[in-house]
Amino acid sequence: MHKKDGLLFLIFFSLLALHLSQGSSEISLLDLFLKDSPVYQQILKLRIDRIMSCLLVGGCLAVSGLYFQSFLKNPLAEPFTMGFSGSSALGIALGIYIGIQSPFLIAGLGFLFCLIAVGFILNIQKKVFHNFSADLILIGICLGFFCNALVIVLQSVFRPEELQVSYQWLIGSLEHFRTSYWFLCFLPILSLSYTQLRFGKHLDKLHLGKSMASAMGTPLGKIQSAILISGALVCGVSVYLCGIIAFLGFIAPHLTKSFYKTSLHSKLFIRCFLVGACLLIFSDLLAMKLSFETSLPTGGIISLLGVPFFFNILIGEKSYAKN
Amino acid sequence: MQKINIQLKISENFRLAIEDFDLCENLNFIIGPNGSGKSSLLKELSKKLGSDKSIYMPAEFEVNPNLYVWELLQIFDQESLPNHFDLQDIPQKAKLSSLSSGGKQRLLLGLCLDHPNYSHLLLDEPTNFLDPKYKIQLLERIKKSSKCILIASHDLHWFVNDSQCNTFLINGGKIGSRGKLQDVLESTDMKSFFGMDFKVEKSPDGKVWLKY
Repeated sequence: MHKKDGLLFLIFFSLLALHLSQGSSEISLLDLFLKDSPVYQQILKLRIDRIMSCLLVGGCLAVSGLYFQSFLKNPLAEPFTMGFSGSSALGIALGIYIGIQSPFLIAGLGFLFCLIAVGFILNIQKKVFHNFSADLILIGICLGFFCNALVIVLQSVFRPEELQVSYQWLIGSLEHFRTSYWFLCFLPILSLSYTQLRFGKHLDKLHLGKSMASAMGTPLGKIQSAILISGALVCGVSVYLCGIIAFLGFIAPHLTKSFYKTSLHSKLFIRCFLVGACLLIFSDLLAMKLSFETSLPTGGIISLLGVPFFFNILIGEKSYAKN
Repeated sequence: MQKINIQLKISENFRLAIEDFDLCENLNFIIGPNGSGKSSLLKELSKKLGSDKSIYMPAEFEVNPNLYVWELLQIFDQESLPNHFDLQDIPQKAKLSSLSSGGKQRLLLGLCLDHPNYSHLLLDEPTNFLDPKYKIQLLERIKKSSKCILIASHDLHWFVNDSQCNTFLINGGKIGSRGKLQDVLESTDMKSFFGMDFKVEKSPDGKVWLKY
């Protein structure tokens, strides 16, 4: 136990309680738990679905971002900037339009499109750049926007009446019945945990640089596959549940690293997950509080917080490189 | 040690073709002009020797500057700082980015030299960023080490006095000349490899100087 864990847990549980007591209906948490009425039970279920989605999606995105940043040695890497979220959104939108019902299959289609995007990115990168990390973000962001545009085009062709909903979903919103499928998150959690348990020590060796790490026995190829596949799983499931949450996978690892003053993955894994969960719960809380006539998309709040942070890190890195 | 053969295509017009490469037990050098394939050879050797036996330290310092010193120790499975190269003065809570280039180089060299698991050490330009005092300390420390060490270096002056060490002159991805350092320097037509002439001169006290 780190001495700062207490603070993190305190924040986490306060946010949980605050979030659970919030909702469109003005009913207190105590009433929800104590009164035995079907309506109340329904409301409680909705709130639990929403908070579980926040918790698990936030955590998964954060850990996946941590892995991307370590493997690519790029502080700006995360599922969104790598184009993972965008491409899985396209797959999921397609799945819904062609009438697939099973949430498992739709999320699976998101996962599949993510893998296609990975293939595409790796292929371009091989042709253009010499190392895996350089300017990969550029390809990722372009690809993400391309997929977003395709989703909007498809939406206005197939279901123009729901364009507003689709737009909210693309920015990331938890106002959706799909949050009740939060249990799907067990797939990315399993994959991320496997990566940590199997490659934890090797992930730390990546800090030594690729050539030294690989000489010390770090299986770069296997780690790359594990990180990319778990990233695709995270995006397939998270985008299905609550759309594209940008910048969370980017902010959370940086916050965790600077709060705990460490870059070792064994120390970061669970804490980074919790920080990501806190961030998404906090943003969702803010979104609910600030919504008046129409609901505010949660992803919008994260982006509002995340983009200034993004530039801050970018400037920090560049000025470091100059010195 | 068994002899190692390496055939590897590095790029369209560069091939590594090394035959019967064998290391002596203590200290070995690789010399050669820029782009002769020294670094590629070291990397490939570390693969052939096996990641459980050998450690390769690249010429460029690629370690994440945001690491703390204690984290680097943990990655190298070591509990305290090596007790040479004045490393004891470095606080464990310091970030690597707060150390000088030479400090970082010394730290990494110290950790590699002290690591108990690796019997072979492949060092690419280890004298980078080191001042003369630490260069001399490094050479002394390396000679005392029980590991088999292979150094690729342009810093000929630094080790020219170790004339009995096993040396390979690499050029164009092939072994151009091999043997004791003294013999390689004296018997080889250096001009054909380096594009300039070297002269090995002995001073009265027996020290060797390289003139060019």
